[in-house]
Amino acid sequence: MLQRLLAIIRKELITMLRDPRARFTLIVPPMVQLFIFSFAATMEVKNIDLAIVDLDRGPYAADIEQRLRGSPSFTALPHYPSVAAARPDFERERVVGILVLQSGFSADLAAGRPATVQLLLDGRRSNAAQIAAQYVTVVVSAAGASLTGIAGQGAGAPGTDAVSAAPAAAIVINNWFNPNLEYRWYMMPNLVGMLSLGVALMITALSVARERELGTFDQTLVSPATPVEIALGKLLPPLIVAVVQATLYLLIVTLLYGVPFRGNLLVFYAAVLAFAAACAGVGLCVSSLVRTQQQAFLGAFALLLPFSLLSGFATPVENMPWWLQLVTTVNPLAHMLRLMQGLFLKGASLASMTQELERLLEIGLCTTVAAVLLFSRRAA
Amino acid sequence: MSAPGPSIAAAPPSPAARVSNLIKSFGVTRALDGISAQLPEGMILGLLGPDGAGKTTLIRLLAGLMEPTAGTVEVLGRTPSAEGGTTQAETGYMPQRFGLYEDLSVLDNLDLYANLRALDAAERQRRFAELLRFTQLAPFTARLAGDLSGGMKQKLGLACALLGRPRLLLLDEPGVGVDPLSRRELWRMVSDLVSQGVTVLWSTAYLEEAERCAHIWLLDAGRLLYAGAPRELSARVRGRVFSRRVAPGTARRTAEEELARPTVLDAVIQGSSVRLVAKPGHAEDFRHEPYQPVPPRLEDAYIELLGGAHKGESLLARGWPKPPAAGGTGGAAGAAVGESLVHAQALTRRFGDFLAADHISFDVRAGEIYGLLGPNGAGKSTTFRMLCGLLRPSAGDASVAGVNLLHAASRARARLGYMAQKFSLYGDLSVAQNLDYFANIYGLSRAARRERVPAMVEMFELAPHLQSNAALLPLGFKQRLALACATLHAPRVLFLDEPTSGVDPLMRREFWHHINALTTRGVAVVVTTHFLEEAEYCDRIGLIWRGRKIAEGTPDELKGRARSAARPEPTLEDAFIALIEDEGAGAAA
Amino acid sequence: MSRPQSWWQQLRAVMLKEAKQVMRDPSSWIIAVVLPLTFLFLFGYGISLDTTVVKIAVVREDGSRDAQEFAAALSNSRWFLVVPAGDRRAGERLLQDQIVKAVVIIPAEFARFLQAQNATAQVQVLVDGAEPNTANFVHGYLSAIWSDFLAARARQRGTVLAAPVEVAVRYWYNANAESRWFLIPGSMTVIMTLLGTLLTSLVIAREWERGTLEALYATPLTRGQILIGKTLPYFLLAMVSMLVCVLTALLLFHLPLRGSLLALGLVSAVFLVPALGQGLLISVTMKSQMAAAQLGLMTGFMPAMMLSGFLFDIHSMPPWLRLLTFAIPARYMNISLQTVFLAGNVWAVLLPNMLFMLAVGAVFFGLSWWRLHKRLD
Repeated sequence: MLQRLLAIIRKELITMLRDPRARFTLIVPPMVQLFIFSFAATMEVKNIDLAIVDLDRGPYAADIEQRLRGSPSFTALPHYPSVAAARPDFERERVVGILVLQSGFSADLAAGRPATVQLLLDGRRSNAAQIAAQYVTVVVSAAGASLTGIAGQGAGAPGTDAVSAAPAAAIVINNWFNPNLEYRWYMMPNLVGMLSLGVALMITALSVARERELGTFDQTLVSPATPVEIALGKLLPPLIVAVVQATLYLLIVTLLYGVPFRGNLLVFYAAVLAFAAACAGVGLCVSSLVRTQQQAFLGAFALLLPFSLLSGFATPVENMPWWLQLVTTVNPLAHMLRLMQGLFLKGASLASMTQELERLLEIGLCTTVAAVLLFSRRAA
Repeated sequence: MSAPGPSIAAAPPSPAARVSNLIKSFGVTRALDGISAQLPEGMILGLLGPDGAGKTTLIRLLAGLMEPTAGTVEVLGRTPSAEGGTTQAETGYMPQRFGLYEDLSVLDNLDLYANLRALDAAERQRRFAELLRFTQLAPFTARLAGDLSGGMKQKLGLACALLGRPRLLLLDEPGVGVDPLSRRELWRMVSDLVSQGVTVLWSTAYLEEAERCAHIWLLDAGRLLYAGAPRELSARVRGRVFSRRVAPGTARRTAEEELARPTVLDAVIQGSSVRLVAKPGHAEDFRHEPYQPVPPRLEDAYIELLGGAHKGESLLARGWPKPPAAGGTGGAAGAAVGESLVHAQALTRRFGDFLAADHISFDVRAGEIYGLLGPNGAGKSTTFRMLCGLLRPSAGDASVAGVNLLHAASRARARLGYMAQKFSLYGDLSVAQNLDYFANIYGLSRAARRERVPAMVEMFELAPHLQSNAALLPLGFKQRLALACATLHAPRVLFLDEPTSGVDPLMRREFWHHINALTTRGVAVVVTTHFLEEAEYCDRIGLIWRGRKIAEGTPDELKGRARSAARPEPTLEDAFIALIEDEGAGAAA
Repeated sequence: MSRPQSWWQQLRAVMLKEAKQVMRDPSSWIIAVVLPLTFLFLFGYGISLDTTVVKIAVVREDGSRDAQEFAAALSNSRWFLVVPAGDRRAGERLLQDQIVKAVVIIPAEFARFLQAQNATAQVQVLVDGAEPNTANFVHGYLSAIWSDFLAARARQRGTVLAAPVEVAVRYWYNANAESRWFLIPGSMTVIMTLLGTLLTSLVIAREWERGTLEALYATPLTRGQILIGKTLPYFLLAMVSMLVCVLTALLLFHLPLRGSLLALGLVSAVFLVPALGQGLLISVTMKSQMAAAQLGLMTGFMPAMMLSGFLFDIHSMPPWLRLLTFAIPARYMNISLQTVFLAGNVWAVLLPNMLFMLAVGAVFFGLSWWRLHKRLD
C-alpha cells in the first residue's frame, strides 16, 4: 500500500518537475505575478494630478495650494482659468479632480466667516476619487485649522501622506501591525494565499484529465493500486509543491519586501498544508468530473474566480451582503487570507488562529474526502 | 489503356508526382535522405517501410505541408506550395487520424470540405450523393464524426479527401486501427477511383495490402530501398519459401526451432503450419518432407530486404519466474492442458439501452494465446476492458488467475499485465523512472526490483536510453519498454490490446518472439487484433460481433468453416469475413 | 466560378465550422455565458470598494458626561459598529484577534482635560493597520466625529468655534461615488478579454492536437482565410455576450448609459481586434491547448484584472509598470467603457483610445499572419 502510494507520488512529482519547461511554469509565472502585482495591487492612491481653478487669488488660497504641493500624494497641480477650461483634461482622465477656490474665499476666512472650497471629482474612478477627496479634505481642513487657531495635533501616522493631520485637537492615532500603513504589507500575505490557490487547484484539476488524454491512466488503473491510493497519490504532491512554494514566498516577502513575519512558523505551515489540501480536493473533484484537459482547465478557472473574489482579497468581506458573507465561510481562501494576515502582520494569538485553522482543516477534510469518494466511483 | 505498347515505352505519360534527390531534415536527423522516384499516373502506389522510415514525411512533402531541405518535389507538374494552393486544389489528402472534426456531424464535415474546395451547389449535390452512396454513409449523415466506428471514420475521411475530385490522392496509413472488413471495402473503393484515372499513394504497414498495389516504394531509414512492382520484389525469394504442417499445439515450438537454424531467414506460424524462408543458397536443404514449397509473398522479401527476423532465445522468457503450481505444463508442447487462468462468465455490459457485450463467456488456460477478434464497435474492446478491470460489468463474472476481478480487484490486477493499443507509458518520465514506477506500483520487493529491472534493461537493450524521456524514444524502443513495464511483475496473464497496430512486420516478429516464449512459461495471453496474420499466432480465437461471441476455435477450425469450392484455401481474413456475413444473413433472415 | 466568389465560400466554410464547434462544445459555453454572468453578479452584488460599517471597540476609562457623549457619538455614527470593551487589555485583544478594526480609548480624566483651557484631552486610537485602506477610512471617520463632537460641545456652551473651512465634494458622472458604477464596466472589460483572448487562444492549438490541422492545411485555403475565418465567429460570440452584459448592467444594476449604444458597440467591436489578435497570436505560437490556455490566462486575463485600472488605479503604479499598461488592450477598453457608460460620447477620450486598440490589434494580427506558415515543419 505504502510502496504503491509512494510510487505514485514520486511519479507525479517527476512529471511536474522533470521537464525544464514544466519546472519553469511552476516557479517563474507565480514569482513574476508576485512581483508585478506587489506594485500594481495597491489601493493607496499616489501620483494624484489635481486641477486647480483659483478664482480667489488670495493668500489663503495660495496657502492651501502650498500645502497640497507639500503632500507627497500629489504630483502635479496644473492651473486652469475656469472649470470649463479644465474639463477636457478632466474628461481624458489627465486629472482626477478639480479644486475650485471661489473668489472671496480668502476674504471670507479673514472675516471669520465659514468658507467653502469646491472639489469636483471623477466618478468614473470613484475609488481613487474618494481617496483623493479624503486627502484633499484633510489638507484643506488642516490649513483651515491652523488659520482659525485650532491646534492640529494629529500624530501617529507619519508619512501616511496627508491623513496624519487630524483636524481637531487631541486624537492620537496609533496604527498597529503596519505603522506606516504600507499597502504592500497588506497585499503580500494575501498574494501568498492567492498564488498557492491557483497552483494547487490547477495541478490537481489537470493531472487526471491529462493522464486520461494520454492514455496513461489505464495503465495505472490496471495495476493493483486501488482508486483510493491513486486519489491520494494525486492529492499529496500538490501539498509538497505548495509547501515549497510557500517557503519561497515567505523568504521573498520577508527578506525582499521587508514585510514582518510575527506569527508562528508551525502555524504557517499547518495553514499552508490545510489550505493546499482543501484546494487539491476541489481540484480532484473537478478532475473526476471532466473528460478533457480543456474542460478541467475551464472548470478550475470558473471556480478560481469566485474563490478569489469572495475571499477578501480585493475587497473586505465585511462589505459584502450577508448571503455572500455566508458563502465566504466555506471559501478556503477567505480563511487562508485571514490566517496570513494574522501570521505576517499581527502575530495574532494562537487561540484566534486555531479557530481559522480548524475551519480550514474542516474544509480541507471535506473536499479531500469528497474528492476521494468521487474519484473512486468514477474510476471503477 | 489502349495505347500501343511501344509509344508508352518511348514517352511515358507524365508522372503524377516526381521527387528527385529529396532530403528532409529535422534538426540533425534526416527523415528523408536523398530520394528520387516517380509516381506513375493512374495506379495505386503502396508506400511501405518500418516505422520511422520517412513515409509520413514524404506524404506531407507531396501534400505541400512541408518544404524540402534539399532536392525537388513535383506534383502534377508543379511544385506544391502551401500558400496559393495550386497543387492542393488537385490533391486529396487523408492524414493518419483521418483529419475529421469529431465534434461535427458527418454532413458538417462533408460540407466544410466541399466549401473549402469551393464546390458550387449543383456540383456539391452530385458529389455528396455519389460519395454517400460510395461510402454507404448515407444513413449516418446526422451522426457526429466522433461517434462513428473506426471503419466509418476512415470512409468519411476518404470521402472528404475525394470531394474536390483530386487527381492525386494521398492516404497515410488508412488501415491502422480499422477492422479487415472495412479495410477490404476501402480497398474496393480506392480501386474504383483508380479505374477512373485517379492516382493513389497508399502508405501502409500491412504487407498484404501492399501486395495488391501495382507499384510499391519501400523506404527504410529515409532511403528508398525498392521501387517497382511488388511481384518483382517477392520474386527475389522465389523457390526459397516453404511451409511445413505441424502437429496441433506444436506450432510455436517448431517455429522457434526452425528460426534458430542458421540457414533460415524467417519463420512464422500460420495456424497449424509454419512458413519459413531459407537464406539464399540454402533452398536445397528444404526440398524434402515435411517441407512444401509455397509461392513467395511480399512479406518474405520484405523481411529479407531488411535483414531477416530477430533470432535467438527470448531473454524475457529465460528470466521468467517459474509459475507456482502449473510448473509442469510450461514448454511441453503447450498442449493447452494448463489450468484456466482467465475465466469470463456471461460478461454483459450495457451503455444505456445499448448492449455492448452480451453474455460473453470463455476461458484461457496457462500457456495459451487467446485472440479476441471482431469488427470495430463489435464489443471486443468492451469485453477486453472488463477483463482487465477497467470497466465494471453490468452482469456476469470474471476472474484472473483464480482471483475474482469484481470482489478482489486489486489482488486480481496484481496478477495481470496490460499493454495498451497506443503507447501509454509516462512520456515525461525517463525509461528508468518508468521501470521504477511500474516495479513499485506492482509491489515488487526491493530484492525483486534489483533483479528484474536490470534484467529488463539488458534483454531489451534499453541501457543507452535509460535517461531519455520515454516519449522521445524511437517507436521500436517504446514498444519494448511497454512490454518490459507490463511484464516486470511476471504476471500470470498478459492482456495485449492491438499490440502491433501500425507496426511493421520486423518489429512484430520481435514482439511475438517474446510473447511466444512466455507461453512456454505458462503465461496466458489475451490479445485483440485487427491484423489477421497476427491472429494466426493464437491458439484459439473468439469472434465477437454485435456484442456476442459468434464463433470460437483454432485458426484452422475457423478457416475450415469458411472453406468452399470457390475458396479451397481460405485465409483467416476470408474466414473472418465469411463468418460475419453468415451471421449477418442469419440475423436478417 | 469567379475567384472572389470561391474565396468567400471558403471563408464562410471555415467560419461556419468554427461556429458549430463553439456551439457544440460545453466548455465554450462556460466561458461565453457562465463565467461572464458569474463575474458580473459577483461584482454587482458581492464586491464593493465602498467601506461601509467598521467594527470598533470603545474603552471608556472616564465616567464623565463628556466621555459618555463622545462614546454615544461613536455608537450613533453610521460608520461604526461599536463593541464595548472593559479595559485597555480587552480592547487590545479584540484588535489582535481581528474582531475589531480599531480601539478608541477615552482616558480617565478625559473630561477634566477637555474643560481645562490649555490642557489637551487625549483620545487614544489604536487602528488595525494591516489593511491600510480601511485604516485610512477609520482615520477619516474618527476625525470627522471628533470635530463634530467638539463643535456640538462648543455650541452647547454658547461659544462658537472659529469657522472651519469646509470642502464641498461633488462627484461628476457618479454622484454617489458608487464603486459598482465603475466596477461593472471594468468587469465587462475582463469578460471581453476572457472571451476574445482565452477562447481564441485555443482555436489553432486544438486543431493541432486533434490532428485536423493537417487536413485543413492540405486544402487550398490561404492564411488570411484561416485567420479571419477562425476569429469572426468568436467576434460575434463576444458581441452577443457583451450585449447580455450590457442588458444586465442596465436593467439589473441600473447603471446609467450616458453615451449612445452605437458608441458602446463601436468601442466593443474595436476592442475585440486586439483581444482576438492576442488570442490568435498565442494560438499560432503554442502547439498544446494547455500551454495556450495558460498563456492566455497569464497575458490576457490577469493583466485585464490587475493592470487595466479596473481594480487598481493605474496612476498610482510606479512609472515602469504604467509604461507596461500601454501594451494592454484592456487598459484602453476600461477607460472607454467607463466613459461611455458614465460620461457620455466623449469622442476626445474614445477616439484616441480606439486608435491605440487598433494599433495594438494590428501588431497582434500582423505577428499572427507572420507566424502562421500553413506548414507542419
